[in-house]
Amino acid sequence: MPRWGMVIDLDKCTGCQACTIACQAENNVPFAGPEQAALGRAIHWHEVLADVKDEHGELHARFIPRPCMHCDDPPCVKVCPVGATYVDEEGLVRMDYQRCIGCRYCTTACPYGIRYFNWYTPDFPEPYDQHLTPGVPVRPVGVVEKCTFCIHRLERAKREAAAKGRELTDSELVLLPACNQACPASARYFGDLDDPESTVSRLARNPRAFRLLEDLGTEPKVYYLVEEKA
Amino acid sequence: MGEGGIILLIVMAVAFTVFLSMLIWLMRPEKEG
Amino acid sequence: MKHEAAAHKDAALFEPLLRTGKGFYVTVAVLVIVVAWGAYAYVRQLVLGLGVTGMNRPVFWGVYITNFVFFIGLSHAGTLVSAILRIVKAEWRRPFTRAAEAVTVFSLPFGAGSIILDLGRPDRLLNVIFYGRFQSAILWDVTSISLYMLSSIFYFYLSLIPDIAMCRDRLNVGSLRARLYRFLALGWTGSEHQYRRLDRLMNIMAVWLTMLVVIVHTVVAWIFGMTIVPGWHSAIIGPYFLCGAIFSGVGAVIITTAILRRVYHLEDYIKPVHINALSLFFLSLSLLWFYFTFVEYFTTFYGDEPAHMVIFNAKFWQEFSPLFWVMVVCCFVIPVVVLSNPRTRTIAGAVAVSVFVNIGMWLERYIVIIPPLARPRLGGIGSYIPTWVEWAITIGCFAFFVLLYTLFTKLFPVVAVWEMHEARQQSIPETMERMRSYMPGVAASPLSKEE
Repeated sequence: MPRWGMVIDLDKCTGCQACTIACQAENNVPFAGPEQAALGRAIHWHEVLADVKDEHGELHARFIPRPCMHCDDPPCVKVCPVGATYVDEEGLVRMDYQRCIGCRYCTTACPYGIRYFNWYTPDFPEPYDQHLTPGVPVRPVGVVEKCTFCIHRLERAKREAAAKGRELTDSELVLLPACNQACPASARYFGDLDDPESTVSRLARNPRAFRLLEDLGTEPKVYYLVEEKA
Repeated sequence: MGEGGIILLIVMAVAFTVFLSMLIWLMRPEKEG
Repeated sequence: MKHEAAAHKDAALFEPLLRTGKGFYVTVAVLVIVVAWGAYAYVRQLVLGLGVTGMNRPVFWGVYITNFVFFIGLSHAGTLVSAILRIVKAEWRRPFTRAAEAVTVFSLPFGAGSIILDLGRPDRLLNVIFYGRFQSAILWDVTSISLYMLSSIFYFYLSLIPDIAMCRDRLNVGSLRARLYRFLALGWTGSEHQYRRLDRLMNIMAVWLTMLVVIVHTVVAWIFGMTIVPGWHSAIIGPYFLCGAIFSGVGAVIITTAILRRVYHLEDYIKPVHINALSLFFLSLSLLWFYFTFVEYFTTFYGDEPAHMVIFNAKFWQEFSPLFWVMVVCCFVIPVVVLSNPRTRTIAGAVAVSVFVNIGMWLERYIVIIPPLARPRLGGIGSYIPTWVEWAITIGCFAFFVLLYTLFTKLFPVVAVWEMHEARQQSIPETMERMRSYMPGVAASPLSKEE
């Protein structure tokens, strides 16, 4: 069984946010509007974190694109009272929008803060309501949602490969999620971490590779390649 | 049904049965002699 | 025991059931209006979504979850005063066991209810049963609170039976009420045999409920403690919440008892000596609360771990500091200052302290829950301002609790008449006998009736 993961090269990332925008469009992420966004209600399955550190008197800024980590030992799954979020056989942390009771326990438990909630019924002002992506459900009010590693694209690619009677190739997978596809700097990779020959697998073993909040033991599957020169 | 739900229902059913039995015992007349 | 014959001695306790003054109707009317306002706020929330509250990302939990812990904490009042004091044979508990148990029975639904009010999809509540995962602390919570609620209601009912029988036998009331009393009295005759059995059952339930208090509030604390959120994940959070719950619960009993004493003219039953005993217990709980608080924060401070210090600073000197320090004043400074001095440890003093303690303890729950959420690990600063919807629902819950309580005082005597009579007939000689048996040179006393 594949174990899906992602690698993001921080040396190539320019912080352009194309990944964030692509995700919003691809996954039918509802619009919050400026007032609601100011109140902290905006939904960004994918976000670019700006990390500014003062190192020895020198300001050092970096951009850290942040999807869901799809942890192997997710704290969010542990706390869900109804199993509305769960890890599937391929390592994806999934959401069942029909089962979620909106208790928001998982949103507090995730140490990366990657989970979002539908405070109102999702709104898509014209003409965006005409441009929803088929195959991605529009979520109802009162449920939690988050990055899915574009599972709808993954399922479609699997179906197409199966129809052609073959497996998915690594090159088909690397740019499969919308965020990866949109990246103009080719900084992002997706694939099977359990396939030693895959791009993500080799990059994850690179000495430059690190993960966020690694010491918490969540075993996140998004790896970052640290910048080679500070 | 989720295992959590089953445990909850069993716990409540046992408690309810115990309390009902207590009530019945309370109101039972004293045996003669 | 012929309690009925002596019930006329406690006729004052049946007065509220027979006569209703204007004050009652005014109180009920005001409460109904407040509850209606709260209900309206909730309907808005149901229709529009939780966006009508002030909650957001990252502060996903707010006033409702604070209320949940607060109301469950209040409910430990009754169990403590009624069950625990019964076990240790503290005779001064008698005038207010029923009032305290009523606090438990009527506050628990609002504890559990506050969680339901907080859900994004309350229509899917039953999913907790159909798909419940026992790995989740929420299931431990649902199970233990449900068990506690059922047990408390049963215990409350048990303690009411002899008095219901007295109402059935002595009161001249409308046929509906008479039928209610007859039904609920279950054919109670007040024989010695029945009282013996009742005593046995209440002893068993008292021990059971005491165990449940420990379990319930530890489990409530574990909703937070079992996550890895800095500020939540601490070993002491279980005992800390337990202490806090008993603390705020005793305050609630003091307030309730003082109000009932005034409104129903129970000065003969609830005397300064009773409130004094409760107040001393209250004072020691304040000291214990302070100990837990100090230990928790000092350990954090000394350890100086970045993730924990971010939250420590938010509470001690940043935007949460006003609430934090008000909490310390309300929960520690005021109780110690007022209750240490016998001259200020009056009924009025105790009530004043209780009000401050309950405010402080509501703040304590808020301070536990919100600041860690407002300081996410990956950075950023969250903010949270509750909206009128949350306040309306909070005050509505509280008003509904008071309303149910007020209606209860019209149906059943608020002081357990049979317990007062038992005290007069049995407890005084029994206690004297017990004290004598402690003295040197006295043979062990024969087994008392209480086994």
